[in-house]
Amino acid sequence: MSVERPERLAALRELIEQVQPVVGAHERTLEVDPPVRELLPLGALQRGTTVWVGGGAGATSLAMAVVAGPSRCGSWVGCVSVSSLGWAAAAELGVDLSRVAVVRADGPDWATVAATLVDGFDVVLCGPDHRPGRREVSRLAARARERGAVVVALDDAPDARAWPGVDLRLHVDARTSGRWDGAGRGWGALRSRAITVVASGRHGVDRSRRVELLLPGPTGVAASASAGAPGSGTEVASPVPVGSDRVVPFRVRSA
Amino acid sequence: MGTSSLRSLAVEVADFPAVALGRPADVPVAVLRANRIVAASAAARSQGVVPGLRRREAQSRCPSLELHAHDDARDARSFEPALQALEDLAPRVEVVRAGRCVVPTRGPSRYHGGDRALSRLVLDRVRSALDVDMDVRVGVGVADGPRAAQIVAVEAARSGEPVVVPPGATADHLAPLPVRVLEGVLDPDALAGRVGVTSGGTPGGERFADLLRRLGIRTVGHLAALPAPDVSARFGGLGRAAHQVATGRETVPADVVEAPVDLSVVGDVDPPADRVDRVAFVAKVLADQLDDRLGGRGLACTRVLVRVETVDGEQLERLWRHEGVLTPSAIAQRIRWQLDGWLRFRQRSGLSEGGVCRIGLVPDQVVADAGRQLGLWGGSDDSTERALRALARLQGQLGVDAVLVPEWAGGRSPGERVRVVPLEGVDLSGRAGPPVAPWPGSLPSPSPSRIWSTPREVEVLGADGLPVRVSGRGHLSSMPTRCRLDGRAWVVVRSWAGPWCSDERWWDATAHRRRARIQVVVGAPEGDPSPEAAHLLTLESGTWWLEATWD
Repeated sequence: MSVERPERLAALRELIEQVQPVVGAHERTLEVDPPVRELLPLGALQRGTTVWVGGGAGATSLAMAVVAGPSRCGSWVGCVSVSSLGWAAAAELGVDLSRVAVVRADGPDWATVAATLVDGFDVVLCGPDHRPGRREVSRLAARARERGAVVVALDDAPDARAWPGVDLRLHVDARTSGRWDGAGRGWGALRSRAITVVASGRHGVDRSRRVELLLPGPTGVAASASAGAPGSGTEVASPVPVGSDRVVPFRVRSA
Repeated sequence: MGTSSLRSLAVEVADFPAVALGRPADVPVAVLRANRIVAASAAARSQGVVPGLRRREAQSRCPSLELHAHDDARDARSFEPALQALEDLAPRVEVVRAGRCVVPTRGPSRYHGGDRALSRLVLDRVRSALDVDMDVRVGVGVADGPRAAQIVAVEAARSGEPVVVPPGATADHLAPLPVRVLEGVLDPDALAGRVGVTSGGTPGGERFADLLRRLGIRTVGHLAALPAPDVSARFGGLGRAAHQVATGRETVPADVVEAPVDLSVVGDVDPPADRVDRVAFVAKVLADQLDDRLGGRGLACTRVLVRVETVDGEQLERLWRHEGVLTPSAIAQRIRWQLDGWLRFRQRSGLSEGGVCRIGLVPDQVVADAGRQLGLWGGSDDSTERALRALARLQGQLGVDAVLVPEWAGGRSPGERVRVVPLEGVDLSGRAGPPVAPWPGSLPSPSPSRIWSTPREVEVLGADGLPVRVSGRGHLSSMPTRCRLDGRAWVVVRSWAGPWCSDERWWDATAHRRRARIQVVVGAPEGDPSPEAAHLLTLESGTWWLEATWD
């Protein structure tokens, strides 16, 4: 007994409807601001992933720019170990401060606090005050994957060694970043800064991407460096070589 | 007529937030909320400091003024002894807020020998319980109805003598008073410090009184003379309630319904807790449960009975009333206040130390929920609920001071523009946005993204090889060319901007600060494409400090 072809097709389609996931991974994302979009493999923050932000000067602003989009779209941003962050700067970069909560927690409480934040918040920003251990990191990443939260790890270290196994690394290239515009010799004021970010990671980012950004841009928020500029959006073959002794002038680490 | 059963006695401690500070009487103190004075001590008032003034205005009127931030929990704690004393005289004390409570007088008056005797007794007991000086004004008023009694008590606080309005004479007594007195007993949002618009666009209490004044209704008597249906038609539920107060015919708050079933909720605290922080989480869960139960029936609660039991079998019951509707967070807050005050009181008087093992909430007055005005973005959406729940859990674990939210404030230094303040003290629905006008003397944006809480010393050398100084007129002694942090390697100043000079609090010998700030972009000595870093350096008393970094 053979069933008619069109009917079989219809039956198959129905089956597809039933078995395919209700929400694809690429649909479970959080919108980010356009300049940051180029850095992310899906053009948005994928829920359940961990994003490491670090490298040279500009990493803090980059982390703020990453969470700015979700905060303005109504997602709450929970922050832990961020005592040195300048919230005025975050607001200028587009973060909606009415969607931000900061939890003060030191060493022993860190893991519990971060886990609780992952339960209740769409975006969790882990600041540089605390360097988590390997187990803390992997547990947090697993929990974020399960709860569909995005963990943004802001790190003062030059590389992501403290955060093994992150899904995406946004590395501010210390050698080519940090050209400031606006201040002269006694005149003007700081206005904008060009940075180069190298995005590398696991899923869909097999080859690392180099993106040039103005952070902050001339209008205060992040902006893409001019579209035709050499190097913008080009692919580089190898992950960033990190200089052992960086020449960033007295880059300050929190104690 | 059921009116006699509503005859009430109200106690009002004038400027209670200032009294709660417990400072000596001769020190002028005031309490600030959102940069406005909300209460001032008698010493401060005698120098012209009155509620409503801005911080600056108050300081200019009274330079020695001591300012404190408003703290609901502190107020509730300090008011607790007065409530305990009142409960010895009369059952069912209803707390309106710290510093104001209402007692139904029907039974107690008969027992203690009449309204006048009762009010004398209450005045003495409250005074001795609060242990206050003579210039703290405590008012006791008796009238037909809890709201009228509150108005009378406020009036009595001015004279210091109890005022007893004879039964049936409330309308006549209130008639000459300006309509403004109704504000304090009607505005549901007065406690939250904002003027709201209730559902259906009916004006909130403060605007309501203002509107009445502009319509030519200047005294309570004018309002009472209007026909009730007309007032009701024009001003809705708020107008009806106001009219009832004005005519001395208060009923149980408008449209109280009989609770169809027992709506009370009970929660066990296990293990028993002797600290408020640990009970707070249970309190929040219970309050949410109660809200769910009421919400499922389209009801809301205007008076709630909080019952706390300890392992020793002690029970503390307290009624909390609210002129609007008690939200879950408001209920949870009241449980905290009650426990805070009670536990301290017990510890101080050396009573048993048993922990709290059970909390119960009984909605005592239930009204049909007329709905509330949600914010443009839905007020409390799903993700907010989820986030707040997580934060409440963290508050329970780490204490309320560990959970903070950023709030816009004013100031010249980058760290002052936004402060992180405990979530507990922030009203999430009415938060201030970024300032619309620039703060004079503040640095231009972009703001630095990292602000160092412990400033580190920086040496800044000019072209002449000498340390750079800033003159009183804001001129640099020479162009900064090199600098180094903490004795590290010298780096070259590639560009710099400033200085921005600030001379803060010059009128205050101890808080006076003169500072000059410059933005510097520094780089390695040679090699042009090497990275740059931008820092904010501050010169104060001859030394440069690293204040912040644009990271």
